[in-house]
Amino acid sequence: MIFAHGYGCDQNMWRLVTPAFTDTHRVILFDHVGAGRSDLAAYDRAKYSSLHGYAQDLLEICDELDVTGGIFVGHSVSAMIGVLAAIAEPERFSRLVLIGPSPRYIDDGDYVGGFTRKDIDELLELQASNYLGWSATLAPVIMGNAERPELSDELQASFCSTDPEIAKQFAAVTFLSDNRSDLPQVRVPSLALQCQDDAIAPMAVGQYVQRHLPACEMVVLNATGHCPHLSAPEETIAAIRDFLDS
Amino acid sequence: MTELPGRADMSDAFLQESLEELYEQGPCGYLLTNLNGTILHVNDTLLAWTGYDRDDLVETRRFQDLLTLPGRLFYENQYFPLLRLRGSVKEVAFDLRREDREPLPVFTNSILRTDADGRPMLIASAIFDATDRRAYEQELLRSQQRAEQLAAVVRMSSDAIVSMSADGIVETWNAGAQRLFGYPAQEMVGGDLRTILSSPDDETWRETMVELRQGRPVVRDLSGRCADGSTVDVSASFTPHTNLLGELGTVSVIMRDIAERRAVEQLQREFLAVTTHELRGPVTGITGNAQLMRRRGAYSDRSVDAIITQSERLERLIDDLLLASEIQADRLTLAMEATDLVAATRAAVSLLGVGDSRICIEAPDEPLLVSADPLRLGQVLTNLLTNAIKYAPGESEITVRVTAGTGEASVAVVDRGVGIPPESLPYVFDRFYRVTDTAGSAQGLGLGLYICRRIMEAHGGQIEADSRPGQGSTFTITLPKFPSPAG
Repeated sequence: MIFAHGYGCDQNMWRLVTPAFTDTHRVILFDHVGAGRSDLAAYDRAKYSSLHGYAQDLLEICDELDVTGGIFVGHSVSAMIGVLAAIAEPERFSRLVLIGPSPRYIDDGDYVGGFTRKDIDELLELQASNYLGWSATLAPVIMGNAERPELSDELQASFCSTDPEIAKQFAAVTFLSDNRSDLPQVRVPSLALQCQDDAIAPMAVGQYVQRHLPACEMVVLNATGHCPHLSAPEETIAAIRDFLDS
Repeated sequence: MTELPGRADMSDAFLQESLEELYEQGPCGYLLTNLNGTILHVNDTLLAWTGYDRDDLVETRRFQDLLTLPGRLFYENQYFPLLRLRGSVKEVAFDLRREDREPLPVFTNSILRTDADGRPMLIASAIFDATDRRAYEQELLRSQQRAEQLAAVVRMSSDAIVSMSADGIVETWNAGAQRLFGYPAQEMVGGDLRTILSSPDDETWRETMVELRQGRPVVRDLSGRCADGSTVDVSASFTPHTNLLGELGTVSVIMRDIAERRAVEQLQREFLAVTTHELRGPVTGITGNAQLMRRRGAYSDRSVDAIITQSERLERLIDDLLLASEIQADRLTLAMEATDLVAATRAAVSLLGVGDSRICIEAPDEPLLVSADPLRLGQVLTNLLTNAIKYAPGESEITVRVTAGTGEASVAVVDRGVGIPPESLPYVFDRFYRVTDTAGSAQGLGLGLYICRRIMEAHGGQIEADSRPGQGSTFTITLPKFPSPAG
């Protein structure tokens, strides 16, 4: 069972969910290049100028760890990264769990993604402003951080300390990507987990994903927001279990 | 002296009231929300800042609803995950949307409150007005971007861009400077710039520094000693940067190799001399023959023929000059059409008025169509044929060979003349280049083959020269066939 974190954080995102599966599955966690404790030297602007670069990494991990017929769990942008990987090498995965997936964030004709190009530009600006160095939160390594003895130093040091330049490109690639035409090519059964009131992947987007992914089941959670694995881990775990048992 | 009031002088109720006032009206917004962001409590300050009534917010809206769309995205992707996993988030920039839809830049700090069992219960946030700070940040970001752009210009520039202190100590040294002089930055920074300059002399340098101290920019030609021992002549622009007291702080120096500029100047001088010489010849001939007729008071066929010949030569020279200047200004226009290369070659040969015995044409019997401007193609062929006649001695035979390739066709003009020295061969198509003959003299403007090359290039074709001294030269032009293979 391989978990892929979304834009903005790292593999620690899964801390509340993975313990439920460690007894029954081999759990694989990783950080996308640029996030968490990944090797920043491995970053290559050209490779990561599209989500395919990230999908390639995912497949390399599967290859290295000899994963076939695995269960992929991807949050947000990583849902699409999983979709791309499953199209390229379907035998790697038996199931896809897509949490808050969106094939395209920007409105386009009849398609409602929830954002305009201007929104995304503003997000990138906000991002720049938060990375300027004053934000103690987002640059904990640079700024040092508050004492939180109940969390390990390791977590404090790495969590969400994304490299600013890489984060900027990842944000642009994530929010400007368009993977709508990829959806129908997926041959692996999938589950789309949709939250109430998700500002990033609204209900209509979840429904779009379900309609266009062959063999896709959609479960609407009571959880609100974009991170049910953090805000409602029990409900998220139950939905994934049901899907795996079905 | 009255004693300052102490804790004993204050009632509990008074202290409580003061605390409440601080909470409600202090210079900071306070907010309690549940885990999904629904607002449970908000203080007066935040209400005043946002323009909402308490009832508009409490139990009605979520904190995310007060954010712009990008802010919500950021909240969901980063702020909430951090808060949930780390328990606190500090100093994150958001724009709040006021009730009148105007944005209010804020910094937000939040902590996650848990119950006795460690179960997360609510989010407590303190919110600071960041209008001024955001404006500074934006300015800082802009300055940073400008600085990065300028730094990139300096880095990428082919000119040497360096800076030095008022004492001439090198402070920065770009890649252009390394290319020009051969010294890397680590060798130069901290050293005296003058150690690599062989001129100017002390006096001129002192004068330069005096000018700079008075805040005036200076332009000087300098000579530098390169790492490989060679000398480079540069034109240097010194720009002084003075501090608030008007003292000279740093001097930017931009240096450019002027060898190329000098070479161009030299070429222009030579060209002018050559042109004058070439034009004077026919003019002298015309004037001389006209004066001869006047002195004799009689019409002379011979003189008139000479005048016409010289006038035609003048006309050709002027045409060449005009054409070269058009080519130089990229204003050469071509009227392309399907042109028979065989017919064009035969026409060019017959125009020369030289006997068939001298020029031997080897060409296919059927027409060979190429894409070309017939007028310009004719000019090129005439030029090559004229050269062949000029440089091949006596009655030696000249061969003109027209051949067809797969997608192209070519004409080769082969003479058995003096040939071109190997060292000159690479330059024969350069502008103003004239091959010097064994006697050390050269003729013409040095434009003919240059014009040929540019005309062929404009056609998408090429021209090549091959030669063995003493055995002769071959000039070959190649043109795309019509219709061109590309369509």
